[in-house]
Amino acid sequence: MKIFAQCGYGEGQKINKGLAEELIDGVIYSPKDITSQKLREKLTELSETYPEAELLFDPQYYVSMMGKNPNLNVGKLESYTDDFFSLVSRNKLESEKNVTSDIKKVIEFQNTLPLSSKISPNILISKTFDSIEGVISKHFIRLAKEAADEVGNKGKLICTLAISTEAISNLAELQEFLSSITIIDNPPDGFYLLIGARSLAIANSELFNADVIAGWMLLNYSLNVNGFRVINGYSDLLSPFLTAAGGEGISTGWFSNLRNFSLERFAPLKQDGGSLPIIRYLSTSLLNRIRFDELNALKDRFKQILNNLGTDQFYAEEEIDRTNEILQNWDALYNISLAVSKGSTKSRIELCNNLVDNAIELYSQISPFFPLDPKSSGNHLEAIQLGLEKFSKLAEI
Amino acid sequence: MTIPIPDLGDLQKYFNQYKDIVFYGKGGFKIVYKMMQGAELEALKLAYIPKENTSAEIQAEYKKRITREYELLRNCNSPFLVKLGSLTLSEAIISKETFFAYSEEFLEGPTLYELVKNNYKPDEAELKILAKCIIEAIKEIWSQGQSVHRDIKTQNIKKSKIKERPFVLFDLGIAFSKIETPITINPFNIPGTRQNIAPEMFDPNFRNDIDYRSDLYTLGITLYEYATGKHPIANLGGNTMETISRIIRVIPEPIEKLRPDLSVKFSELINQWLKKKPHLRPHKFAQVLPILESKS
Repeated sequence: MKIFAQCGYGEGQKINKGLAEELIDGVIYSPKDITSQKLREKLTELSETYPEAELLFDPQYYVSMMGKNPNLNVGKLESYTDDFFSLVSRNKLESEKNVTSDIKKVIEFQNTLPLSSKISPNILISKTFDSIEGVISKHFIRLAKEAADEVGNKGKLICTLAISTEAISNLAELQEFLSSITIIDNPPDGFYLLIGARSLAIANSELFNADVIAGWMLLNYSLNVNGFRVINGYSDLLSPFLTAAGGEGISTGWFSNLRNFSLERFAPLKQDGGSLPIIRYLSTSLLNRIRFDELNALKDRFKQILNNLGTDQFYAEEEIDRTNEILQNWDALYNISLAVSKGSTKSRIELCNNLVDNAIELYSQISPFFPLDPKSSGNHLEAIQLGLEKFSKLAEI
Repeated sequence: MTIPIPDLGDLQKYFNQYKDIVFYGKGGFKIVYKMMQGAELEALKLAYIPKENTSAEIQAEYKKRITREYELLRNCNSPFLVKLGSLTLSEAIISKETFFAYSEEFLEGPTLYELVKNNYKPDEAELKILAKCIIEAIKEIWSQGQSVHRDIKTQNIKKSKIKERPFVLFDLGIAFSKIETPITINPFNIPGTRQNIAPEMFDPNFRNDIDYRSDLYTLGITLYEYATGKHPIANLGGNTMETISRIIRVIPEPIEKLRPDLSVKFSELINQWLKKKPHLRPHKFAQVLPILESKS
């Protein structure tokens, strides 16, 4: 398994430190937050300094269909207009010829960069698989390999598959969709999965939903069973469960819009201009982040809150550096995911269930002693528990 | 349906270019004879098209079925599929009954079903060879108009004595072509061996979605039964509805419980082929072959 930095605004030294300290295996860049020129420089630098690092580029093509949104803010994607980016209509994408043409543009651009694999584009299935969007998404999957080959792609090809929480919740439709995409001739080598919430403000309540979790896990399981490599974008706290289901790659970043995927990032309803988020510690035993002050209040009485990983040392200081915060997050997520990545699927799911049971137990011990901030609470665990149960049934385990 | 057995003398007289015709067995709507073509043994197949109490539509369905089977065998080119013999498909009126007749090569050797009945326990190496041969056959059938065999079972596979063809699949009588016009008139009447029907076939819309992963399911059933002597789904003595319910709902006991000597990867592959949903069955040959070719 591999952990990727989901890269965005405010990179600073986070990526370099993560790679230097071997806390991440690679990086997923995306054009909204980095200009074309800067991206090229950065990838060249990383590929020379860290030749083992896996460097990927999410073309964020799904933004192309948002032209009608009055709040559209594509950021630095505009600097890619000469390369591949333009706003398109759904009608245009109903033509396979246009889909092929757009895939080629995206891959041709990536061919000029020192990337480990190429990510081919796709749109977001926003409401249901049984829709024109579902059909177009299948076009992008079915045509990706051939189009990429035609423009001289030599490396592995990973195809974007972007699905809203609403669409993935229809588990019957999801299974039909899976049945269809797993049998196509000349498929890509893998998939880059994005599960999108309607808005970042409610992302946690949408993502920590039993059907969404079960569906996302099923995608990982089925695609892996069928020999595809699966990289999960913005998987954050769900990473261990996706790994247990068969996913190879997990990722997260340092801001909430790099931890959860939502198109709202490209059309914000309100401008964020507030203060920086509170520094948090990702506790593997709680399967959640808690505030730094909460950690300090609890760690002596509930020693199991600490991960006992090297990055814990950053939290021994009074002032936590934001770079160190994300290093700790990556370290914790990687280790907890690694712990459930071996053995049969059945045994991995059992391990996941144990993790959740233990977290619930720990929260119940903390609860009478210390009132936690709502974001630090264990409210998400019941959905995970149910999600694991539903997944086991869907995967016939 | 009762198949009338023609008089052997009439049969020999009708097919006088062949010698030593003897009864071999009968199936759903076919009778099989052994016969000599020169120095070679062949299997004469007589398909009976019932006339009494049978509508013209059903008769046409039977005719189309036998024609499809014959054409598929004619076009397929795999050593792991039975080959046609010297007699081309033609109508034959024998003992006042109408049949469709053709011949196939006659392969010496037992069917897997006979071996299972004799409590034969194949080792992992043999099971892997079986899987490889039948996968090749499935691939070949699929390449002919996206066709699916639909009736892979221990009764339809022979363990042959020919080194290059250790296992040979036969009886394509209910093969389904995804791109040709459906033959079965009643979509709820699913032809095939009840306990071996892939779960997705019970979906009335299966014609839109079926693919060769249904054959991988029946290959999984066959491997399981051949390896363990036990059918993974069927309950002995159960009625049709119970069997269908079991096909749709019952998760088979993992094969490693009955054959702990099999390697983990191979056991996992068989278990995975038995999954109810086609998207959970590994189907990429490049992915499956390394497991089948590994020594453990």
